[in-house]
This record gives sequence, structure tokens and C-alpha cells, in this order.
Amino acid sequence: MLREAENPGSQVARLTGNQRKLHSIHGVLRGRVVDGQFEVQGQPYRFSFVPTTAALVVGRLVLTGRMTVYSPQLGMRFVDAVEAQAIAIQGGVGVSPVRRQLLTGTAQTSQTSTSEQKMEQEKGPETDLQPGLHPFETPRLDELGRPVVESTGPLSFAGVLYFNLSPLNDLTLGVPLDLSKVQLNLRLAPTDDLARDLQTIFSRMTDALYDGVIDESAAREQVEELNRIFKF
Amino acid sequence: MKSNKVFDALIIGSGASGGMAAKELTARGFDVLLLEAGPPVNPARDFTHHAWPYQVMYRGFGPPGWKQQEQWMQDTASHFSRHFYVKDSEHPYTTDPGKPFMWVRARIVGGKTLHWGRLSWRLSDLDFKAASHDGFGDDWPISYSELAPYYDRVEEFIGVSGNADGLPHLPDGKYMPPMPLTCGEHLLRKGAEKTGRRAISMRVAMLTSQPKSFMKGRRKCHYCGHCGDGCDVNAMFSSIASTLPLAAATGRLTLRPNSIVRHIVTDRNTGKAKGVAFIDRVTRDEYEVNAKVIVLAASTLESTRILLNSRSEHHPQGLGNSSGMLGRYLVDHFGGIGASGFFPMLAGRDPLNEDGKATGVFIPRFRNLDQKTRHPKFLRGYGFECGAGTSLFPGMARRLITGFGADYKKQVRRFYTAPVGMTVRAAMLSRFENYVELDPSGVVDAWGIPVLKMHIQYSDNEREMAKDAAETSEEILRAAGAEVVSTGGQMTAPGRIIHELGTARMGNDPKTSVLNRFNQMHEVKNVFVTDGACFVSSANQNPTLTILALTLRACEYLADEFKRGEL
Repeated sequence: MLREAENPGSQVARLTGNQRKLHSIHGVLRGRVVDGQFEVQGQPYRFSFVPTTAALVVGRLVLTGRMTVYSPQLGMRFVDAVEAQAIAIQGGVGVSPVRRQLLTGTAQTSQTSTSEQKMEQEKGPETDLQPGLHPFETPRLDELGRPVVESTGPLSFAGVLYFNLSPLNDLTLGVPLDLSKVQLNLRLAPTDDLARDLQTIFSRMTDALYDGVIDESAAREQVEELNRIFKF
Repeated sequence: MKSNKVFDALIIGSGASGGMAAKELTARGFDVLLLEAGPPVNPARDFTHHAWPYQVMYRGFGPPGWKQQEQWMQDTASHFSRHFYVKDSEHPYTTDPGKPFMWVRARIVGGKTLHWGRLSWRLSDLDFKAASHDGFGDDWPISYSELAPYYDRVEEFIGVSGNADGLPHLPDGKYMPPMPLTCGEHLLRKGAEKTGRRAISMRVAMLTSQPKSFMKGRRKCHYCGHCGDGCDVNAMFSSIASTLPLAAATGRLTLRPNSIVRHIVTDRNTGKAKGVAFIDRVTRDEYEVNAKVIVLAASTLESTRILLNSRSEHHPQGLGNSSGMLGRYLVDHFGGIGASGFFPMLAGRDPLNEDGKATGVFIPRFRNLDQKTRHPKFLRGYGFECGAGTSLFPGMARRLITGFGADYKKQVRRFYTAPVGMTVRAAMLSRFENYVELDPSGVVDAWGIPVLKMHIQYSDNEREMAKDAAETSEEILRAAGAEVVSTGGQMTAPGRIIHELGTARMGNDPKTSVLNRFNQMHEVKNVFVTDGACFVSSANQNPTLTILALTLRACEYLADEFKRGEL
């Protein structure tokens, strides 16, 4: 079997002098909390970001809240008033979550979206192996009677939000890396109702702010919804 | 640490194209360094192809939420193959709202050849000269006759099973015997013929007869049907089974896994490439390595991303991109449209191992071949990938059969042997406005490397094609005697078919293309791009066979130019 040279030794030159940085971290929404983990020299560091307020700043969504890091050596440390500015998005692909009408300040359950998402998870992928053995999605047609494209236009939803975090102090948080410019990748894969509501709001927000023409009044409505939810 | 070592050639990526380039260049005496972004693969540990769903937790679906939270875009990844794919959480990219792109990636030694679909079709001059045929877009700078000898060599080397079908727009090649059709597939073939369409055995890169002498370590397919989880007998072509071992055997290949290329380093005086800067995926140490020639085979969009990230004084818009064409003309095929149902005459029969044969029937393109077949509403065409028979998981049970309890089980058992389905694989027009760029808001990956932003949408041409495909698939199923249960569907989001192509296209004019007719950059003579990025148009055939043939041809040219001191 093939053998790989793990280290060609002196055949490549190692560059020195670069301070190691933490470039990006990844979390998922659980309720309103962003939970995630990153590794430093093989050691796992769990983190959470709990937004407490939302605002629009120069046409961009900014969440402010507490960043907590659970260091294997130093235990839990946190910083308040960390700002996370949403800079970009990634559209999700799959069954769209049902975009529900939110009732003020409450999180209504929705069996429709959960069961559809579950069905999508169970559906085998369309592959070149024995294609067609999987039943097709329910047809949806456009105004000219042509099939629509999955997860686009009205079926679209935000899959990931990318935030720039305000500079973090590595000593305070106990992380042995440069934290001066960390990007937070927030994956919207809700498994609870509050996270589902937040995904709906974030999807509306990205439509309003990140698709060419900015619709500030639509975005402000969503910011108000977020702040209502963050109050609880 | 300083290094004066200069490799003859540095290849980025160890998938179909990178593996072929490594084999070809080492055979020609080149001292080659191959950088692979992902980890090495150990088949004994990593291939789980003979595991049954009931042997693992969650019956092979994986822990609840893992896919949505970790590998949401790696659609074909399963519990058994998830380690072949990237974690989306570490490898982000961006899109505009409402316009998603599904980017399936495999960072591992062997790349996507570890789990590819293996369908191996040639393109014809109907594809290479499509613009001359219908007036849209641009022709390729090569013709079928130029590539045909390389197709021959590739097919003989990788081993392709299939029939010679005599279709001018789907040229025949050098084949091992085809895999037999199931009963349902025979019925479907007859139905297609009733409607005036051909239906042929799929041509797949799998060994169906005794391996040839150079196919060391490979054996005939034993029809287990779990090809996507890794093939331990190496019946299916993959880099780790075929090309890389031969390259390694020359003693001239250095393979370095876990090496994520940040950018290509250029000479300040000449603007030519002199090496690459890369990061160790595990230690995060940064390295530079020198080479006389660079071959980019990192996959369509990763290669383009590396070029866009290789900005310098000579190349302020990315390497070899003074034309602004780098990143343009992104395409994918689309699927998701077709029909499914069951054959009443096959219901209730004894089940057979029919999904051990990991292939089916293909209905080749039948639209816009000539004046007689011209469609009034769209250009180009599509084919249907079809299958019929029993499968491990009775997928039809969920939506084709209703009810519950004992009666439901009875119905599932009855129709388990009867399902049939067909789904489209369709061409997408190459358009300037479908493109990738470095994300303008500065999003980076886990290693701090700027990521791509995708801009891609279907046009009316694809939508009209989808409508026609939905209608035609139902017509064929009915002609075959099937009960049609569902027709239509939704067009797949761009990227889902994993045939992303273009963005560094070939051409004769440096103002409208990035590469010349030999996959060499117009502006940087010692850089070649040999993966799907070079495609001028998509056709509707699976692209890997063409990528392999183009790589072979490019490496032959590269070696000649190298000897002549032209690089």
C-alpha cells in the first residue's frame, strides 16, 4: 500500500516569526447560545457566546454579549461586551425551515418544520448509484410551469452567519493564541424551537441587509424581535 | 530552517487529476512533490464498506444532528464515509441570500476518487464545438480527435466497463464487459426504445474482468454495492489504488499529506512561479517549498481559490488573471428532475441482490443533436440516469406506500422488488455572470486563508430543460409499463451534483481565457491547471474521464516543454 512521507524534512523550508493566531471558530445555536469548540495544540477549548443585545450599525447586524471559554488548564473564563458584527452569510441547502409568524416575545412550537427537516435527514442522497430509487421531492413550479430550484428564492434560508468578533484578550480568556481578529462562524442548524425562531429572524435579516439593496426598516423589525428574545 | 531543494514539479491535490499527473510525471523522470491538504488514508482502518447498518449506532445515519452541524454541505457523506469529506465548520465559503451553492469537498489522500460515482463518458465534438453548433458561448480550443487517443489510454489504464453503443455524440471507448441489467432496467430500456430513445448500460470505472498486469493490487468487482464507503479490493478506480502506487514505485514521488496551500509564490523579477507557501493542517506551522513547475489539481474551485489568493506585484488580481477571467464561467450539472414509480409485473417476486451492482441504465442525450431533434425552448441537452430493482433500504416505502401496521409491512415487502426511477443529468450553460471571487468581506477559513464567495444561478435555458425532462421522464416510464408515482421534483441547488466546472477555462485567446489548449496558464508558463477548472463548457456527461484525459495530455506537453527548456 501507498506510503506517505509525513515530513520531507529539509526539502521544505519552515517559516518562522509568525505568531500563531486563532482565525476562525465555529459554533451552533442551542436556544440563544452559540456553542462550539476549537483546538489548540490538540487540546479542546469549549466556548459559548451569549448575545444580550442586537443592533444595526452602518447597515450591519451587531450582536453584543458574553464570550466564555472553558480552558483545559484554567477552567472557565469570560469577557463581557464582546461585539460580533455579521459580515457575510452562506445560504443553506435542504428543506427550508417554515418561516413562521412570530408572536411577540414567545417561541411557538412548529411540528411542521421539524418533521420536514427530519424527513430530509432520512432521505438518501441523490447519487450516481442507482439513481431514482429515492422518491422525488414534492414538485413546485414557477409561474411558467417550470420546476423550481431547491433552497433558492422563497425556499431559501440562512445556513451560516459569519461574524467578526471585537478583539479578545488571550490572557484574560486563557487561550495561548493571538485572539486579536477572530471570526465566528455561526451554523444555524436548530434542534429547538428558540433556535428555529432565531434562524427565521436571521434569514429575514440577511434578506434585508446582505442582498444588494439594504432594507433598513425590515432589518430594524428583526432587530426588535431579537432584542425581545434576548431579554428573556 | 532553510531549504535549497527545488523539485522538478509540484502537484497540488491527490485526486483524479493530481494522481494522474503524479503517475505521468514520475514515469517521465520528474522529481515530484505532491501536496495534499487532507490526511493520509488507511483502507484497513478507514474503509467500512462491508459494515451493515445494524452493526452501528443510529443504523448508519450518524448521531442526531452531526450532519446539520458539522458536514451540512457534504451531502453524500454517510456515517461510513464521513471521514472522506471536509468538515464544513473548518472550510467555510459564502453566498448571497437566496442563492446557495452546495460545495462537496474531500480533503484526503485520494480526494473524491475514494467515493466518486465512477460514470465514465467521453465528450464528443457536439460538446467541444458546442458554440459552433448552436451559437452560444465558446468552443473548446481542442477537438475530439485530439483527445481521443488520451481517452483510449485512460480507459485502458483505469479499467472501464461498458458497451460500444455506436452513438456519435457519446463516443465508444476501450471497455471491459458491462455489468448486467436488472429485470426492471431491461423493461425500462424497452420503454425508452418505444419512445425513440436509446437506453444503454452505464459505463463505469470498475473492473469486471481480470485485471491487467499493470493493475497491481486490484481485483474484479465482487458486487457488494458499497463503493462510496471505499473499495478494499480496488475494483473501482481511485488514486490510491491506481495512479499513486505507480508513481511511488518510481522512487521519485514525495507525498506530503496535511499540507494546505496558501498561495503560489512567484519570482519578483520574472513573475513566474517558484514554489508554494503551505500550512501544516495539524501543527499549523507555515512552510515554503520550491519547484520548477506547478500543477494545480486541487479540484475546480480550490485550484481557482489558490490562484486568486496568489496575488503579487506581477499578478495583482491573482495569478495569471490580468484578463479578469479567473473565477468566471462556473457551471454544475443539475439533477433532481425525473420520475419514479414501480413495475406492477415485478411486484411480489423474490428479492435479489440488485444493488450490489452499483450502476444502472443511461438514456443518453436526445435533444438538439441535429436539426431534427432541435428543441424550440432550450439549447444543449440532458441524459437520464436510471435504476430499477431492490435496494438495501426500501426508500420507496416512505412516500410511495401509505398506511401502517401489518398491512403496511406487507405492502413494503410486495413493492420492495418493483421500484424504478430516472433522474436527469443536464448541461448548464457557461455564463460570464456565474463566478467565484475571494469573499469581499474578508471571511477566512480555520487557517486564515481567504475563502470563496459563490455567485451562480440557473438561467431560463436550464429551467426549460428541467420542464422538458420532467415530461419526458414520465413518458418513458409509462411506455415501459411502470405505474408512475411521482414526476418532476425540484432542480438541485448548484453544486449538489458535484460536477462544478470552469472558472479557469482553456482557450486560444488570453483575453478571454486563463489557460491555453494544453492547460498551461497563458501568463505564467510554468503553471498548469489540470482539474475541472479548465472546462470551457459542461456538456451533460460526468467529467472525470475527460479530466483524466486532459491531465495526461497536459503532462505529456509539460514534459516536452520542460525538456526543451521552455518552462
